[in-house]
This record gives sequence, structure tokens and C-alpha cells, in this order.
Amino acid sequence: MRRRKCLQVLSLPLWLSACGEAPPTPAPRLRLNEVLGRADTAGYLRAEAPRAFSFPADHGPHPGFRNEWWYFTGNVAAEDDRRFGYQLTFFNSALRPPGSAALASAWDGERAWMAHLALSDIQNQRHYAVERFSRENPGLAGANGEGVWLQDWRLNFNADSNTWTLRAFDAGHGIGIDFVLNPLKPPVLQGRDGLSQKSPEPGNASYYYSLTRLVTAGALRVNGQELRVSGQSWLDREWSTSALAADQSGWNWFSLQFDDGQELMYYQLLDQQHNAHPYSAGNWTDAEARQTYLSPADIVLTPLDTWQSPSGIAYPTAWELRYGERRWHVEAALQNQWMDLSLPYWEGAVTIRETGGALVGRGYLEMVRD
Amino acid sequence: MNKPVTLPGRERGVASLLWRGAWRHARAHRWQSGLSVLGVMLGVMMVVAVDLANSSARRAFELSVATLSGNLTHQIVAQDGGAVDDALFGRLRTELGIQSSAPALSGEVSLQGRRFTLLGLDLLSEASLERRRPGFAATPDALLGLGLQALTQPRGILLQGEAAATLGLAVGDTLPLRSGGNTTEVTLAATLDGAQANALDKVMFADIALAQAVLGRSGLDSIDLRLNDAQSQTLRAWLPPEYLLIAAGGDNATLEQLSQAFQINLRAMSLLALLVAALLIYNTASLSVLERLPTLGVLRALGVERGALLRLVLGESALLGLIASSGGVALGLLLGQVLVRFVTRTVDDLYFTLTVTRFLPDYWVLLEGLALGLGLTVAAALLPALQAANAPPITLQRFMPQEYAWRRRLRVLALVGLGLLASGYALLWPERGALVTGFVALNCIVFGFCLLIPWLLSGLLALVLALTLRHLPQTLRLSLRNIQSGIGRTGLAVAALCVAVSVTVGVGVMIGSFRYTIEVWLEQTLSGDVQLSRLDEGAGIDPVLERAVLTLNGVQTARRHYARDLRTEFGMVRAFAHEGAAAEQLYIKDAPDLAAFDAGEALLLAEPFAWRQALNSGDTLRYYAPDGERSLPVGGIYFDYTSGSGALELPLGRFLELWPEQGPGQISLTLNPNADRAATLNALRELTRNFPGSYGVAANAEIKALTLAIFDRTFAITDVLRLLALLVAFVGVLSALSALQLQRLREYALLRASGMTAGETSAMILTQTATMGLCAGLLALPLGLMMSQVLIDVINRRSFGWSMQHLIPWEVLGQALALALGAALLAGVYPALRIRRLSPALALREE
Amino acid sequence: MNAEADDREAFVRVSGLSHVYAQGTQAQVVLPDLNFTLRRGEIVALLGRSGSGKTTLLNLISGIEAPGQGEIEIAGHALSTLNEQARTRFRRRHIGFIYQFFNLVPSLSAAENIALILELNGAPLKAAMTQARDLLASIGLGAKTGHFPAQLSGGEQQRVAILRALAHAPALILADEPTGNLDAHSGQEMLQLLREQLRARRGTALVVTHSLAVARTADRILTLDEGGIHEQAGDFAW
Repeated sequence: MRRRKCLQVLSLPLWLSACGEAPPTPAPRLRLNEVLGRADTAGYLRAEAPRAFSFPADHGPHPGFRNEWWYFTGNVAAEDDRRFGYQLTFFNSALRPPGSAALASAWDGERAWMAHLALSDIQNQRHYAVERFSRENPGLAGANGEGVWLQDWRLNFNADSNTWTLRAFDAGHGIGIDFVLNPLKPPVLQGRDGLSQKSPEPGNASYYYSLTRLVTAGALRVNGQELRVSGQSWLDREWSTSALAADQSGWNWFSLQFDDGQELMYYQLLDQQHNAHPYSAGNWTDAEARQTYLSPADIVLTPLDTWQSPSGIAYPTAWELRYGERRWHVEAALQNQWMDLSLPYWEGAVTIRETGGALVGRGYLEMVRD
Repeated sequence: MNKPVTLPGRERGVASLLWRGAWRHARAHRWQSGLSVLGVMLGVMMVVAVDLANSSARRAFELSVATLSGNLTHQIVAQDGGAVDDALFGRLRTELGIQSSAPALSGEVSLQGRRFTLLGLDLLSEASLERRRPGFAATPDALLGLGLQALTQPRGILLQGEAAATLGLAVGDTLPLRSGGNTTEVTLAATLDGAQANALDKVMFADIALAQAVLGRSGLDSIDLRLNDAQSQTLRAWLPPEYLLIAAGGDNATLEQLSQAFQINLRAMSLLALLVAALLIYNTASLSVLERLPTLGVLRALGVERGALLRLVLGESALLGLIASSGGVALGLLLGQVLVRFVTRTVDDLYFTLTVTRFLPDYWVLLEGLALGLGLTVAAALLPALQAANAPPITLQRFMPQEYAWRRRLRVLALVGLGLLASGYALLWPERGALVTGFVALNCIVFGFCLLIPWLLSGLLALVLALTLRHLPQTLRLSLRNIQSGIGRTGLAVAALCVAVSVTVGVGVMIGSFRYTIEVWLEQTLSGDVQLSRLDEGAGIDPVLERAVLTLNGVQTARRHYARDLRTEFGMVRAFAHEGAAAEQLYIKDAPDLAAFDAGEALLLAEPFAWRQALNSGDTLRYYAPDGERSLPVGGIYFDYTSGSGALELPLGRFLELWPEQGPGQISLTLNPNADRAATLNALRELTRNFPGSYGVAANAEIKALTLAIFDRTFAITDVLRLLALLVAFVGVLSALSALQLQRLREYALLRASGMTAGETSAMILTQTATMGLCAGLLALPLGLMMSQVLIDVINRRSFGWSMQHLIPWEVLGQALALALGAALLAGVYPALRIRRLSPALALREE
Repeated sequence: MNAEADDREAFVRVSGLSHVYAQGTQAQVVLPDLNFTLRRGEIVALLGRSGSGKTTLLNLISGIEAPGQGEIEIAGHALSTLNEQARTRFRRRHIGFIYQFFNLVPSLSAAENIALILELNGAPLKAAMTQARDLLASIGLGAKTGHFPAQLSGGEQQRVAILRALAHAPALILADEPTGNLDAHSGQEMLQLLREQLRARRGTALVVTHSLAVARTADRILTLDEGGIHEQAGDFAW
């Protein structure tokens, strides 16, 4: 899952006090519950019952819902084994229910778009994060059966070859990716047949599937330098109209790829006291793509170490994860993989080690706090 | 007492008792000192006020220009001057990924009868363009926030806080915005506040989608960019041929120049007022020295050194100057606030909607005013101070006929004056000089003439006396002789009055000529009887409506007029085209080849445009058509007073070749001579209501009246300044003449003692001042006309590129004479009253 | 120093003095070749008709004008060696002037007129004013110290003028028709005062007059005419 930073912008504070010659105020942040917890759902479709998924059509957009995202994360390495983590995400959010009154203008559109690009340069202990926003029209951002774009950042899906391509560069930070991805497993439907219930109220749910292992190769730009890299990626796809309940305040999300060909996804929702919420859930995918649903009773998560963000929040960057008899240490490959963006969160590459210390896999960890 | 004889040291300061005496003298002559202070105060007030208004206007102008263009390097515009396709921006961002780019669209809207410039923005693009825009110095983050908010509140607009408060609006209010005859309901989403938000008091921001909807337009004015060299090269190669990549801010330079020229005109007027004030100070100071000559002589005899007397008089003037200048600066601050409204309104009417009308005091101007007033007072008192220093000791004074020396001086002054006049005209010789030289020349001419005045006056009086011989009554002859014998003083007073009055003549004649020119021009260029025009920018009159109009009862013939913005080698120019021969539509200034124009082989240029670009008949002008560059020879120049940044006239065929789809923006209709005009106009108006878009129907007479009303409004500020200059002059004359008369009181007492009645003496005083007023008025006429000639043919031409017809409005000349005479008579009233109360015994008492 | 011996010395010595005014193109001789001396402490009357050059002589002695020819020596100072500015300072310190028309500064009070000369000679204003008031009181004008010249009678004005001429203890007093504008009684009073003051201070004075009555009050009488200056021995018909 991930109830995400899909932008719901109506309640954004106004930064008019930043006008004039006063020193610029710190970048205002999106408030999580205002983003994902909105009650005003009239006119939108809702995720109330399981649906029949159909691929490749469901790789494309689902415009009747308020929010939707395409979420790529992955671990890649250059030929000299220099390691990188990357993230490329496209979010979009409806500005008004579909089909409602429009302005007579080519710039009018129903949806707004946001994209995040992040790169973790493990060896140099550097983390880069960039966000972009855009309106939809005229032709500035959007999604169709062939792909998604936000201006010159784009992802394309070729149904014939079952190939994804990602292309996003940011001149200001000197970073970018130009990757080709091929899934090794069919889509994994998360939750109950792809319906991921986030809180007790019906409709507070999303449709959610993942591509848990994509072979990745291409060019990576870091510090203005171009490198050939290869590795493995993970895609999360989710669309919904409302998700979080009032008593939920964040989550920890793990996507772990074991070297033996198995994967684990687990999200731990947090209540207002930052304790695990009963609606947390996950999925175990074995090498043959067989799936096992995971409830909070199956997984024990224990934070071992934390990293303090400049905003004052302590993010656990080392965990002990227990699944039945098996236990691993999941550790951040780089402590500071903080996404210092409009909606700040911690997201970065992790390593998976057995208790003896042997490296058994890699993955991504996302921690969001309200 | 018999001590060894030694010499005391030099005096350094001025004995305090001398200051005390000077102060008592000034207090005893408070009437005169007060007027003098008042004159300088008014002069400084004018300079400060005009300066403040100008500097406020200038800063407002800079802010306005910056508000509208920001820190851009380039713009993409359509080659044909039309709109930039919206989709081009989408392609620019997705294909080239140039982040520092934003769409730009602006238009005029009105809200509660106030005009605003509506700026359509995509704030998300603005966040990445990081445009520096005064008053909108929001961080990219803040812009992002605003941008996202704008998207969720698609009908929200932003307004400067104070402007919203003035209109009584609160955030959340629904407002009807009018544009081009359509009304759109919008919401006040937020207000902009902060120090620099002043720049935005006539600007309204809206999301670009809303702006397009409100303005009823599609497409953009431009795409604004900040590019490095590599990016601009890439972009140039990528750009479809119907678009141009141009450097940003190019048009602003012209606008800036225009507004500067206007301000210089105002400043000239305020400096002339100060010149009058300076004459006044000189006059007061020298009279006060003359009056104290015996006392000064006693002091010299007592052993007061020359330097001490010099310091004394300069010190008195400096104190007076300080008081007057401080008062003047304070008053100027007040007046400036009024004037800034006039100035910005004038700039508004003449050039473009200024987005700032706030008063922004510039403290340097205040200091400058203080220094100017003080410096001028001291400088003007220098000569009288030297005179004081050279005051002969009392025992020698009976041998020094003061006025005798003046006779010789008159000729020297006149020669210097002639030299100044000549050099003034020599400076004007080259046709295209700098504006500043024009002003220097103007001042040379005024000052030169000023120096001629005592000599002219003396000659004039001698002539009158010689011609009339015994025909004049004795009192009148005595009056004239008195003026002549005191020429040093009377000449000065007449000169001050003359300069002041001539300013009103010069400016009055200039404005009168201009107004007359505008009338003639309207007469020439408004064809038919009624004008029907489409008010929506760029749109033409509906052909169906056109046909319907022609069948209307009372309409005889119609003639089409077209207008579009044309990109030329000199930037955007308004291109016009008309049906019919050029001579019937335009007020031709000079067209050696009008036939070539009518044949479609030449174009005509509006005079200001031709002047600014230094183009003449026979030159060639390049312009851009959608399919490439074209050029046509200039067939002639026509008068044009519509201002703006430039205008030209294309042959109709050429125009329609560029824009075959363009409908006429205006049609002039000729009515049947016996048609019911009012009914026809009503029928026309009724008819236009059935068509989409907004139309204007106006009889030529209405247009003329409206244009002249705008003209009068624009020149209201010059009237205000003229009035003030007049006030300074009046104060000057009052002070000069009354002081002169008061000084002669003893003489008059002597006359009274020798048998003249009080009435006769009063009459003599009034005759004398009236004669001086009349002389000043008469001399002000040629000076005023010379001034108006320089203003019309040099100053305004160099400022605006306009040439005007010369018209002498006789009422202005009459007013000037009446003014001079009135002021002079009034100045004689107080002394005339004093003499009635004066005992003839005064004459016999001390002498 | 022996005062008696001093008294016999020439205190003012005029030798070979002549002065010419240019009037148009014609030179007009105002003073012919003049030679005379004044001794310290003596009051000398100078008689002469109108236009005989009496006032010019005073202007020359006070340094207001520079002579065409000849030399004026006062207390050993040759005026010809001084420039205009130095002569002005010399006059301020060492000459006291009494005029026919009083020539008080109209914008200053009686006391201020006297104090002015003291202040010009370096006295602080307060001390100068005190001294001026004392002087006025000593001649019975104590009630009029604050009066302006226009508020005083002619006699009073001239008495103030005498005090102004004497206040700073100048070496030489020059008086030009001091009684010319006064009635007989005031004139007598005035002369009485002048004599008293001069005697009290052992002051030297040159009094220009055309009144024999005035001249008779002097120690010595000189007459000035076209031929030069002559010592008047006794009475003569005017």
C-alpha cells in the first residue's frame, strides 16, 4: 500500500506572508491527513469492493478516482559495483470531480500532477531529491495507455514487449535516470484481491498491485556524470479516493527483495501514538510468485536505531524484522535519505542481513510521519 | 586715553549687535521679508513637488515595467503579432524541458468601474521560472503553494491588499469582472501585502485559465523565458517558423524615454518658477541693502570691515532661505502627493496603464529641494551682499548718485542679455538635439531676455516721455520719471513680473496650439459621421452585422478601417489600413509619394514613430509577415497624436495580404443629410446588441468631445503648475513693487508737504505700479511667444516627436496682460493706503 | 612719562596734504597744500565756509578716504602705510566720529548704539551693554537706554552719539558740525558735555564748524579756505 502524498491542495496554507521583502519562510509542508483523509468524496469512484484487474489496461490511468500513483524504487549498481538507490514517482490528484463545470480555456484541466525523483549515492553518502508539479493542460502532464508524463519526465509502457522505460533528468541537481525495466513476475495483487483496506470505514481503501521484481538496466546521471548501471526495481500502483482514518498518522513501508528470488512487502500503519495500527498488512511472494497474505500477527518490527531529521522527527533507520521463525536486520544503506520536499518523508535503499551478518537482499524503506 | 597706538586684529564673525539690528530691520519690514520668504517657499515647493511627483512616477514606472516583465531574458511571440498558441507551451516544456519558462497573458478588466491589468499566470511555471516581480517576491515554494491553491480554486483572483480594502472587498467575496462587454464572476482568493506590494495596486492576478475565460481569449501574449546561450540556441532551432524568439524588455526602453520626456517638461516648469523666485530674492535682498545704505555707511564709518557686512547680508539671506526652503519642502511634500496623481494619470492617458499610483517619497528630493532653495537664496543675495560690503561710509554717500551707476550698467546688462539670447538660439540650431540642450537653450533665452528688460523699459519710458512732452498730466510724467530714475530697482521688478507672466503665456500658447492641432487632426481623420467599432482586442466586426448596418435606414455609405499589431525591425507597431484614398483618411504632414501609397507600393509612418526612429520619406521599413520578411519604402509621414509606441499606415491591399481573415475593427458611416441622427444611432446600438462581442457606436462629435476631455485632463497638471508659477510671480511683484513704493514714502511725504493731496499722491503711486505692470505684461508677450515656440518646436518635438500647428490664443495674451496689470495694481494698494495715513511732516523731520 | 612734555608734542601731524576729486573730465581741487598739527589733549576748532573741504579733511584724517598727496600721521602712525582694511580697523579702534545728523543705527537702542562700538573693539556683549548703560546714566540719560533713535530728541541723539564716539577711548575725536542740527540751547548743552568728557579723558578733538560760537569754546581755532589752513589768533568778523 501506501497512502501517499497525493496532493490534495485545497487546505494548503497561504504563503502570502512570504511576499514582500521579509525573509522567505521555510517551505510549507503538506499535512498528511488533509491529503489523504478528506471526507469530500462526492462525484468520485471509491474502492469499495474487489474488482477484476486486467493488464496491460490497468497499468494506465483510472480517472474516476481522486488519487493515483506510479511508484518505482530500486537498487542498481555500476560496473565497478558503485551502488545507487533510486526512486521515480508520478502522482496525480483530481481538482474536481470528473465532468464538473470547466472554464473556457485550453489551460483548464481536472487533475494536477506531481513527480518525485530521488537518487542515493551510497559510496559518496549523498542523497538527492527533486519534486515537480504541473497542471494537466495544455499537454503538460497526463497518463494514457502508453505511459505517464510530467513535462519532460516520463514513463512508457510497451505492452507487446512487456517493457517499461523511465526517463527523468534534473539539470539543477545534476541527476537523472534513463532505464529500461522488465518484470520477472506477474503483477501481485495486494490486500484482498487487490482491494487494500486502510481503515474500517468502507471506501477508505485503494486498489493496489505491485510488480515486485523488475530487471533494470540503463544510464544513470549523478553529479553531472553518466554511468551504465543495472539492478532490480519494484513498482507499486495504487488508486483511491480516500484512505486514511482520523486515528492514523503515518506508516512504515518495506519492499524487500531477497537474493533467493522471494519478496516481502509490509506496511505498518501508525496510530496517533505512533503505535502499530490493526489495519497494517503485507504480502510474501515466493520465487514462483505464490503469495501469502500477512497480518500484524505475522510480523514483528523492532526499531534498533534512529536518524534525526532536521525537522525534528526521529526516523528508525535500522530494524529487526521477524516473520515466524525468520529474522533479519533491515538497515538503511545511507542514514540521510530524507525527502526534503513539500511533503517531507524518509525513503531510501536498505540492505537485508541475517543475524550472522550475511547480506541476503536489498530493498526500499519508506517512513511517513504526520 | 593716550595709549600707544596699535591696530586691532581682523574681525572674524559679525558682532552680535549687528545681527540684532538686522533682525530688527527685517522685523520692521516684515511685510517685505514675509513676501520674500513666501516667494522662495512657493518656488521650492513647486520644485520639490514636481520632483517628488516625477520621481514617484519614475519609480512607479520602473516598478510597473518590472511588474509586467520581471527578470526575463527572452520572449516567444507570434511573428504576425497575434497570439501564441497555448499548445506551444506544452510542447516547449515536454519536448525541450525548459523549466525557466512561463506563459504570459494580460488584459484590461474593470471592477467596480476601476481599471485593472489582469495578469494571467501559471504559478507552477512561475515557481520554476523564478521571475523577479516587485511585490510578488514570493519564494518558489510559496509560488508552488499559491499555484496549487489556484488550481483548486479555479475562479480565484489575487489583489493587492490596499486596493481590495479601497474597493471594500474581503477574501471570499464574489466579484463581477468586466472585460470586452462580458462579465465573469470571480472570487477574491487572497490579498497580497508587504512593502513591495505597492507595485501591484492596479494589477490583478488570476490563473491563466481563468484569465483566458475572463478576457474571452485563447492563446498567449508571449511565453516568457530566462535562458542561457545554449538554451536560446536550442530553442531557436526548435521554434516553429511562425514564432520569434526576441530579447525581453525591448519595448520598455521606448516607454521609459517617453515618460522621462514628459517629466522633463514638468521639471522645466518648476525650474522656471524657481528662477522667478530667485529674481524675487535678489530683488528683496538688494532693496533691503539699498534701504539700509545709510546705516551700512554709518557702520563702515564706525570701522566695521567689508567682510563683516558681506557676511551679515549673506547670513540674513541664508536664514531666510533656510526658513523658506524648509517651509517649501514641507509644502512640496503635500503638493507632491496631489501632483503624483496627475502625473501618473497623464502617463496613463498618454502611454499605458500604469500599475502604480502610490506616492513614494524620495528623501533625496527633499534634501535637494532644501539645498536648492538655500543655495539659490544665498547666490541671489551675493550681489546685494557685495553691494552692502561696498557701501561707502556715511560721510561719502552724498557724493554717490546710486542711479547714475545704473544707467551705465543697463547697457552692459543688455549686451550680456543679447549674447545669452543669441547663444540660446544657436543651441537650438541643430534639428535633432538632446532634450537637455533644448532646456538649456530655453533658459538662456528667458534669462537673456530678462537682462534686456531694464534697458528696454528705460528706452520705452524715455520714448513715451519724449513723445508726449507736455501732453501728459504732471503727476503721470512724474510717475514715469520715477520709474526711470529708479531703473535699477524698477527694472528688476518688471523683469521678475515679466518672466513669471511669460511662463503662463508660453505654456498657455503651447497648450492652446496643441489642443487646436488635435481638433484639426480629429477633423481630418474622422471620416463619415458615425463610427462603429468592435471593442474586443484583435476581433473584427461581424460581416453579418456589417451588411445589416448598410441596410439600416439613414445610413448612406460605409468605409472600413483595419488595425493589427505588426512586428517590424523596430519592434511592435500598430498597423492601420483604410478603405479610400490616404488623403481622405489621414492628416498628411509630408508625403512626396502619396500616389505610391495609394497604389499599394509604399507605406506611411505616423510622425512620432518616424521621428523616434529617424525615418524619412524614401527610407525603407522591414516588417515580418507569417511567410517571411517584407519591406516597403516610406511614402510619407502623417500627423498622429494617438501616442503609443508607434503606428504606421499600410495600403489596404498589403494589410489584407498579411491578415486575409482580419475583419474591419471600425467602420465609419456617412448618414443621409436629412436622416434622424439620434434615431439612427439608437438603431445602430440596438442592432449591435444582437451580435456576440462588444461594439461601440459613437458620433464623431462625441469622439471629439471625449478626446478633448482626455486632453484637458492630461494637461490639468500643467495648468496647476502654471497657476503656481503665477502665484510665485504675483508674490514677487507684490513684494518688489510695494517695497519700492514704501521706500519712496518719504519722497511722497515731501510731495504731500509741498501741496499734493493724499488722493493725488495715491493716484500717482498706483499709476506708477500700473505702468510697471503694463510694461511687464507687454514685454511678457514676446518672451512668452518665444518660449512657446521653443516649447512647441523643440521641447515637445524632442520629447514626443509631435509637431504642432502654431496658434495664438488671444485670450491667453489678454489674461497675461490683465494678470500683470492686476498684480501690479494690487502691489500699489498698500503703499497708496500708507501714504494717506502718512503725515507730511515726516518729510521735514529728519532732513 | 612726562604728560606735560607729551602735551606739547604733535599728536596729529598733517603735512603737504592735498586732495582732488574728479568730476566728469574736470579735476576739482578740494584741498590745497595743507600743513598743521594737533597736540595731545587739545580741542581744536576748524572753521570754513561750505564747500571749503572741511568734511573731506575729516574723511582723510579718519582714513575713510586716502589722500591724493601728502601725509597724515596720528600718534606716530602714517596712514599712507595702511591699506583700506587696516585703515578701517584703525578707525574702529582710534577714531571717534560725531556727525551733524547723529547717524545712530536706527535699529539699535541708545545703549546698543554705544555698546556696538565696544563690541566691535572686542568687548563681550554683556560687558559692553553694562558699560553703555552706565555711560548713559552718567549723563542723565539712564531712563532712555532702551529707546531707539527715532524715540529720542535731536539733543538726546547727539549726546548718545558723543558717548558712542568716546566710549572706546579713541585717540582722536572728529566732530562734523556737531551742533548744526540742534537748537541753540541743545547745542550749548552738547558742547558742554563734549568738553567735559574730553577734558575728563584728556581727549584730543578736531571740531569742524562754521559757527564762531562753537569755535570759541575750543583751545585753538584753525580756518580753512582755498589758500590753505591758517591759525586764528583772536576774534575776527566772519
